[in-house]
Amino acid sequence: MDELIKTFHIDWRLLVAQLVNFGIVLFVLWKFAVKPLSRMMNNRTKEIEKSLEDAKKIEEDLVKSQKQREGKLTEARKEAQAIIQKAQTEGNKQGEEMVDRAKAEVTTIIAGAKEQIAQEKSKMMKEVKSEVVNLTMETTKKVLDKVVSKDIDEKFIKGSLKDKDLPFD
Amino acid sequence: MSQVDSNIIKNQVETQHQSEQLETSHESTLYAESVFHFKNFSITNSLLNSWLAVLIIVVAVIVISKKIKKIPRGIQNYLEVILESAMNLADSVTGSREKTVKIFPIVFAIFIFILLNNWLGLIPGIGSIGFIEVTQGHSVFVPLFRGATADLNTTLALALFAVIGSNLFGVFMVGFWKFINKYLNIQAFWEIPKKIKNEPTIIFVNPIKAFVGLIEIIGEIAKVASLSFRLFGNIFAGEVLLMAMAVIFAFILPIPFMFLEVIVGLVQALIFAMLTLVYFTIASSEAH
Repeated sequence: MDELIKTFHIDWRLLVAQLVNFGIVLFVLWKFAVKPLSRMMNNRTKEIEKSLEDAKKIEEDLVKSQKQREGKLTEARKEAQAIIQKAQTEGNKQGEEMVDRAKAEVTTIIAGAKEQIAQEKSKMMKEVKSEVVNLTMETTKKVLDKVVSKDIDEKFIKGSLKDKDLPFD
Repeated sequence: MSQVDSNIIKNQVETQHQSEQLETSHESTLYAESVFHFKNFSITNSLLNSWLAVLIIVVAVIVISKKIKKIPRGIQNYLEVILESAMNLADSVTGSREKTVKIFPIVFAIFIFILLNNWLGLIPGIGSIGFIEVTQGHSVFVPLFRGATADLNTTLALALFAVIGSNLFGVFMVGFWKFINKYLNIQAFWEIPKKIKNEPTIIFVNPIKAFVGLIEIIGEIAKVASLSFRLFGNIFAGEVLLMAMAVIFAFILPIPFMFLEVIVGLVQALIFAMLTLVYFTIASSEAH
């Protein structure tokens, strides 16, 4: 052992000095290089992982919202179609109703008109009848005034008129 | 290179000149020569080199740490790649990131410190610039700088740190009782009366286990010796080799050996760091 120490000039003070040197290196490297670098790298790894996850989530959300939008669109389309159909049927129905109503009105109007016409006709007939009677009476009166007595004549004429219907009927 | 060579040549010339007056010994010594004394503490040339290495590391680290940003630019990218791949390499040894995070800073510091010291020893001028000291009738050439890892004091300090550190780490990780049983296996004897009914062979096996534990103590000492001498031997031999080549032919010839030494410096730093990592891992894992 002594031989060894003598040959290599081993000195505990030198050993300590070299240990101190190494200690400085160890401390400096650990404190200012390895620790901050690895912390930075770890942080970066975490951040990248997080942002990748976020991107995935965003993509998923996008797909979901797209699907939702599409669903809503088809729903809206369906609804619109239904509304259109409903409107169409309603319109048809209303049209038909209107036509029906118009027809009914027309028929009532026609019926009214017919009635009126018939009334007027009967009224006219009455008037004509009375006029004819008057006329005949006047003429016969005038004729008979000159021919027979008034009484007989009137009886005669009225009787004949009763027997025969008017040609207008 | 040329500086080294010219210095060596100059020294040789000087040697020749002085040989007429005084014999100047010019060999690479196994130990680091003391350059000057501070009180009674001799400051060796390898300690100077070690301080230089520390200074370089501290300055570099402080410069780098100022530039660390969340979004890496330029050199930070490379540093991150190095750190990440080093961590992965450490993971393959420790088996878990958790343990790696604890051990890695120590091992990484060892690697950087040794690597820089190994390579500093190769810089021209280190080992060849110096002065001539006259002691007891003959003069000796003393280089001003010497690769710090070419001095057993440095490598022994590092090896002691690695082995003692790994044992302390083991105490913290597995607890004192379990840890002490690795060396002084009291548990093995303690178990004998409890388990002897189920497995009677335990009466032979456990004393052997206890003896193996004692051998482990010697193993720890061997670890210190192997770590320190491997590193010292490789680097010192490299310096001697380069010197020898430069003496044979100062131009071109040492260049391939220079590259070789660069690789050796890297490999030795890596070996030391990896072995330290292994020791730490073994110490922190529970005994079987």
